[in-house]
Amino acid sequence: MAKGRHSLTAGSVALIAGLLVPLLVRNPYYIELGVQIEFYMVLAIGLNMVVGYCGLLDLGYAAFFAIGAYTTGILMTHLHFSFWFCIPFCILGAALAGVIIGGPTLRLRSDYLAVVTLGFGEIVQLLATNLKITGGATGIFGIHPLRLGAHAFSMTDYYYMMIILVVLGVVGAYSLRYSRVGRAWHYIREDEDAAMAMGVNTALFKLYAYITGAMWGSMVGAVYAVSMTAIAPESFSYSQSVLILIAVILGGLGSIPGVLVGAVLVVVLPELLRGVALFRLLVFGLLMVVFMILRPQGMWPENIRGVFKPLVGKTAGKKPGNGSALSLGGGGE
Amino acid sequence: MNILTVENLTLTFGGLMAISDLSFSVAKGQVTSLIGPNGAGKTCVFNCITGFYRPTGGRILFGGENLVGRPPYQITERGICRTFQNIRLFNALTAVENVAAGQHTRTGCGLLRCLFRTGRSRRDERNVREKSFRWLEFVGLTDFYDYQARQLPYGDQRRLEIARALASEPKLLLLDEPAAGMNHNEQERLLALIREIVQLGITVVMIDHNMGMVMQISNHIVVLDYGRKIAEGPPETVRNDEQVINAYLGEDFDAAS
Repeated sequence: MAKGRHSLTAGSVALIAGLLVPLLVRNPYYIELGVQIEFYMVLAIGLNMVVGYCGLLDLGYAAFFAIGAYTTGILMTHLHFSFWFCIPFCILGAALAGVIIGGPTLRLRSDYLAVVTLGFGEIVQLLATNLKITGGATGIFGIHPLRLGAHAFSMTDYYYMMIILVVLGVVGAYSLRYSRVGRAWHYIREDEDAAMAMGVNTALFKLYAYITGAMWGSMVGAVYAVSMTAIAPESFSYSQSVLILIAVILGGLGSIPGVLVGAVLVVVLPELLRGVALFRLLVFGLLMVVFMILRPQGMWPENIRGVFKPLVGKTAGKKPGNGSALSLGGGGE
Repeated sequence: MNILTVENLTLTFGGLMAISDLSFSVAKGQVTSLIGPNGAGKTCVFNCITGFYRPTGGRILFGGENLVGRPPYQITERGICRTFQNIRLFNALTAVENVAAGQHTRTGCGLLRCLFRTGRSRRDERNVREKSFRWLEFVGLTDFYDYQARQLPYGDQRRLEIARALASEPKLLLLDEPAAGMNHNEQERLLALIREIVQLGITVVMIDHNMGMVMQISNHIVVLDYGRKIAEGPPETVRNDEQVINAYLGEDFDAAS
C-alpha cells in the first residue's frame, strides 16, 4: 500500500507540474516538446496494452496512428467534417483494420504476429505515400485547427487537451489492468496454454487487446492530425512504431508509470543530444543499449503486487471518495 | 453414476498411435487414477478431455454431452479443470492473481464493463478476490498471497496450481502427476488435500507414478500401456494383475509396498 500511495502522489505531482508548465514557460519550443511527449505518452499507453499486458509483439503500431490521422485529415479537408464527427470513423476504421489483421493472425503465436504487424505497418505507410486521396508523399495539409467559438486552438490549448487524453489513458489502463479482461491478458502473456486451460478464450482476448490498442492509437492519430494541421507519411514510418515500442520497453513493459517515463525519455534524450549533432542517433542508440543492459526490466517496472489485498486489509487500503481504479487495486503501481 | 465416459478414444499423430480405442468411465465423487509406463498416453488422455488435442476418433461424454471438438475454454466452462505435468503457473504474477484465473469463466464482464468499472464489474472483482483468497487458504498458501508464483518452493507451486484449478469451480478435476518431485512430507500433505477435495464433492482423475499414493487414494485405477487399456479395476485387482505387473509395476512391487 505504501508503494501505491507513493505512485499516486508522484502521479499527482507530475500532473500538477504538467499543468503549470505553460504558465511558467513561455518558450514555444518547450510547449511543442511537451505536446510531443504527451503524444508518445498516450501512444505508449495504448501499445502497452498490446505488448505489455497481453505480450503481443506489435511492430506496426504507427499504422493505427496513421489510420486515425489520415481518416481525420481526409474527412476534414475533403468532406469538411467537424473534428468530433471524425472520431467515430477513426475508431471504426482502426477496429476494422484490427480485426482484418488480427483476426487470422492472433490465433498464431506472438512471433508470427510481429512479422505480420511489421508488414501491416509498411503497407499502411506505402498506401499513404502512393494514394491520391492521402496526398501522396506531401501528405495532407490545411486541416482546420480546433475552435472553441471564435478562438482557434493554439499549441498551448493542445497541450492541455493532450493532458486530458493522458489522464484518460492512465485511468483506462489502470481500470483494465485490475479487471477480468486485464488479468486475462496477463495470463495470456505469462502462459497461453495455462490461460486456455483456465478457461480464457485466448484468441478472442488477444483480439480484444489488439483492437483496444488500435482504436486508442487511431483516436490519438485524429488529435495529431488536427493539432499539426498537416500530416505526411514519414510521421507514420516503421521507426515511429519502434520509437513507441522503445518508450514501452525502456519504461517497463506493463507498467503505466514506466511507459510514461519511457515516453519522456524517447523525446527528451534526442533533444538533449542535439549537441553531438551528427552522432545524435548513434549516441541515442548506445544509451538505449546501456539502459537495457543495466535495467532490463525498465526504468519503472510493473508492480505486480497489490493487485489483490487480503480481506482484512480492505478498509485500510481504501481511500474514501476515491472511485478510481487505484482504490480497488488497493495500491497499484 | 458416471460423470465422465470415454468411449473408443483414439488419437494418432501421423502414423503414431498415441491412444487406441480406449474406453473407461469415471464415477462421480471418486478418485480415478490413470497409471502406466512413460509414454503410455496418459497425458494425451488429459489433453483430449480438456480439448487441447482433438481426438482422431471416439467420444468423451461429460454430463451427457460429447466434448470432442470443443475448445478448451468451453470445457473449463462446463466444469472440467486440470493441472499440468510440468507446473505451468503464471510465473511473474502473484499467487493470488494466479488463483483468480480460475474465476475467469465464472465471471462475465467484457471490455466495456471492465473499462468503465460498472457496478457488475466491481461486484465481480470483490467476489473474485474473496474466492481467490478462500482457495488460497484451502491449500494453505494464504501467507504467500503476494509472492510471485516463481518464488514459491516446488511443492507449494503444485498446490498453487491445484488452488487455481479449484477456483474454476470444477465438477471434475484432472491432476497430472501432482506428486512428482515431492518429498515424503509434501506427498502426505498432498494426499490429505486430495481427500479434502473429494469431500467437497469434486471428482478427481489423477495421473501419477507414485504407486503407494495411487493405491492408497484411488477407488478405481485404469492402466495404460502403449495407448491401450491393459487393465482396470479397484486397487487390489490392478495390483495383482499379471499384465500390469509385467508392463509397469514390476515383480517386486508387492514386496516393496
